[in-house]
Amino acid sequence: MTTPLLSVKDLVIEFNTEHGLIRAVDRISFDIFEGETVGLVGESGCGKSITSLSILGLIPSPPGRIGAESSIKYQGKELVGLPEEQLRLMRGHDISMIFQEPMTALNPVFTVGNQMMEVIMRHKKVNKKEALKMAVKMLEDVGIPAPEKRVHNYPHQLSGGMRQRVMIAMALSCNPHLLLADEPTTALDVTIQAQVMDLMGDMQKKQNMAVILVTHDLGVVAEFCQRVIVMYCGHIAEVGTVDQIFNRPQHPYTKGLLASVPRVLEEKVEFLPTISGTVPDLGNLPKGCRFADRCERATEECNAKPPQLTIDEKTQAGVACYHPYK
Amino acid sequence: MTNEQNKQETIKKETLWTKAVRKFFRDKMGVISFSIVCLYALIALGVACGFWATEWSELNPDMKNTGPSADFWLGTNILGQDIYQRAIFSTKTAFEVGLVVALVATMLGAIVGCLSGYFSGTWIDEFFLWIIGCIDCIPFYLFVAAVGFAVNTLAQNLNASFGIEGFEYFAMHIAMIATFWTATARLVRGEVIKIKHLEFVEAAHAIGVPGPKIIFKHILPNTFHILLVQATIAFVSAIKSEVILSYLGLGVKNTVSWGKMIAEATQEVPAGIYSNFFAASAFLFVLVMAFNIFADALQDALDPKKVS
Amino acid sequence: MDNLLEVKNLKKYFPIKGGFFRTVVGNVKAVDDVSFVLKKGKTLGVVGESGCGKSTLGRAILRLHEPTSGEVVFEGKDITGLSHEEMVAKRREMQIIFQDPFASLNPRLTVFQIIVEPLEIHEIGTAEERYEKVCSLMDLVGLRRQYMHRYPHEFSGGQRQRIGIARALTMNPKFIVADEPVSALDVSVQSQVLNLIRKLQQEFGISFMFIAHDLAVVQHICDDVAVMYLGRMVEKAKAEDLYKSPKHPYTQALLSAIPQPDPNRHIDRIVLEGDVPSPINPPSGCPFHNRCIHVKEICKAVVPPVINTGTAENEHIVRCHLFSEEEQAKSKGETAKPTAESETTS
Repeated sequence: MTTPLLSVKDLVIEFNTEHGLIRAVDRISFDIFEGETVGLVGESGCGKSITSLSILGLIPSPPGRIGAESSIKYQGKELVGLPEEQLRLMRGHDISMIFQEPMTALNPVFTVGNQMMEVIMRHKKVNKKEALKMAVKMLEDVGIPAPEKRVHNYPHQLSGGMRQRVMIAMALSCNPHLLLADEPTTALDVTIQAQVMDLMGDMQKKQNMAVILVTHDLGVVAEFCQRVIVMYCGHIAEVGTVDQIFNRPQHPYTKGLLASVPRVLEEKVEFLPTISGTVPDLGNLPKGCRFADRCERATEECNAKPPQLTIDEKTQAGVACYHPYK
Repeated sequence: MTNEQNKQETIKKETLWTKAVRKFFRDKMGVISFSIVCLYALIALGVACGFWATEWSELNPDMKNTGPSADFWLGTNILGQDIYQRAIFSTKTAFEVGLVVALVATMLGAIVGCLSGYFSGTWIDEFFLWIIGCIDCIPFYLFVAAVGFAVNTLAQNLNASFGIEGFEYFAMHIAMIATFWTATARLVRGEVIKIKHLEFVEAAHAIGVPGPKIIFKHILPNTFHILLVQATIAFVSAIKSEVILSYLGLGVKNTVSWGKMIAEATQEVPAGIYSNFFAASAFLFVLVMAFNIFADALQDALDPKKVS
Repeated sequence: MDNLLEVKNLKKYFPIKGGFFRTVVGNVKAVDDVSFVLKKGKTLGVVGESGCGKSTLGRAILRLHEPTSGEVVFEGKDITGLSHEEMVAKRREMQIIFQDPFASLNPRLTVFQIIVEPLEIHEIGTAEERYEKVCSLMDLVGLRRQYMHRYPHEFSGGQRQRIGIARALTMNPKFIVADEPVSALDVSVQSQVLNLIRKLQQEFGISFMFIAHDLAVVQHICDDVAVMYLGRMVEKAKAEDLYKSPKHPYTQALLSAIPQPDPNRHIDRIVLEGDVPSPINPPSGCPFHNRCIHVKEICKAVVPPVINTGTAENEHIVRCHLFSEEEQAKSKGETAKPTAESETTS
């Protein structure tokens, strides 16, 4: 087994809030290997976005902080506790990030080209002219028509889909090995989403980078990813390949979630299957399994002690449940 | 199912206001400044009820311009009046001016801002904006002085022709209200324009709620946080402006205020007598300072972005 | 008379003001010539991407936005001409559920105050009757009565959406516009709310106009589905027909673009080129022609007519030149006309 590109161990992220210390992410561990696409899925508040932000050291602190025993290793190098300057050097160069809302992630007072050149010149020893050339090349690669003109546009002059393409171009301008995409298509329309996802797939193949796709959309994951990490309430519920997760889900949460997604089917169903109840409040978590209250298979055991996730070394799959579906 | 119950029960029953209050009391500087303001308010209340500083206008012809003593803690002024008592009494004047101006100006600003914002894009809005624009064009103190002077003259005429008395007492209040409401109106107008496009206002339309009720039940209460902060700002501004106006001779009548004391001191300071000046300035400074910090803390506590 | 709602040639233009004197320099044609019929107890799904005018259509029908022209016939009566007072009375029967569970509830009112407000406005019932009504509504939408005196911010998104639904139900309406009621919700909560709406359809026979941006969401609860593009209804049919055999190239693309949570299913995706054009300056002719893979010369010049490819009682309406072989001869003569005025409505 090759060494993972990114190895997250016992990651704890806590937030100081008015209602006391809240653990948004509680001792999660996972590995990402070179060139693979991993979907990080879960509902709002499950800690998926916070996890991806913590990899780049972008957790707002205070109120947030990463637990003392947490470890995030990138190519064997510990990222937790790394000084800000060193992290900044890695951002964009080794690890890049795409955000949900491209309009807020781009600075409205600079042209697209300016912002791209800034990234390029920070990480590569090139002069302004070369940087501009590279920026135009990148825009061309992400399929923006007339890139030599568009490079002088301001973000507000571009449509939502275009902006997300620019974000991708910026994120990929220094050939990172790992791309963190936080809900990259949530703000976009369905037809534009298809374009952007296709583009991301192409770019990934071209640059052979690993992608962590943070999303709540199971459809996007099924079509785009090889492996899936399902999070629930700050814990990892299940890890597996797309085939395992979608065809043979073991965790009752995964199964319930998949069933409740409305999909285009030949047959019309009267009522959609649902998961009863709501996600527990992070400030008042149950003692045992966090899904136990909503789970039909829950027993005494589930309420007493949270199940542990054991990931099989070989298959990189695992489930945190006492009574998984077989 | 049980989960949903649990969740509901854990959430503390808390309104937006109690939350803001709790947040406010976590701010140490805010609490200290608030206590100072309360202390001043207590002093003012005592004066109003006649508990203390009742001899503020009493003349002691044989005790002119004396220094601090056991009888007169801060000395006496040129007429032999007790400066300490006068400074204490002025607290009541300051609160009265501040409260009247803050309340009326904020209410006026709220109503105008609400109407202007709700009818934005129509002639009603244009009209109010025009008035606000005109008032804001005129240098502030010049305008206050002009209105104060005009109302004063009017009051004298009223007194002479119709025998209506006491109107001149409010000349200064009216002058300040006439200028202070515009800032509130502008802010409220902006907020109302934002709120009126929110879906709950649309929902009210869909239910068939009549226009005035939408304005005063659904929109106006959602600007209360702005109004409260604006009122505190108006309160401080009114007290400060009162000093200037008193100095110009347009201040309160038949009573004493810190502004009047400072105006008196203009004759005393060249002669080397500072107690009047220092007493008034110190009282004024501490109140304004405390109130400003209190207003800042209040603003933080009420900021909906921080109430999350 | 089983037609509850009949919308005829409804238009809603927003004027664009510009220049020194703020004169009208153009129009955003948010809803452009939309017609449909909704039968009692049936649900129409309206699907389209952002900016296609689907929300404006819903609001124009309720006269929350005053329609520019066209008719909205509700129970046999055109409501576009009603006076303010008459309209207020009509509002008891037509309600709306909003998308944003946070912006749609007044943060300063308690749940009770929110749900009871329609009864107060229309002066219905005594205090006890109102209280009883609110209780029964909260039971109906699955909220515990104990939370009656809490404020909206104490609830989760799904529960807030239930409060919004309860408010819409207070007056026992016959027709409800549901404007993307589940778009802002998590998947597991989304299905709960969809099932609640399904229950309301069945128990009370309420007609819904269900607006969504996702074809997958509306399939289970709609009888008919309409697809909108740039202010126009480009296709409308029975839900089964539309999903089985989408006619309009845009519907086909929209349907194939939905990512399916099923790795085994590989459909050939039609990926559309480019973005949705701005409704301020829509393309001439068929508004979809610049992204369409089947584009022909005629599409660039003539607005496609409304064509029924189905039967008279089982309509499948498409606005596309691909289906107007026999119509082409007729429309050729009108090609010379530069504007969109040549269109006819069947």
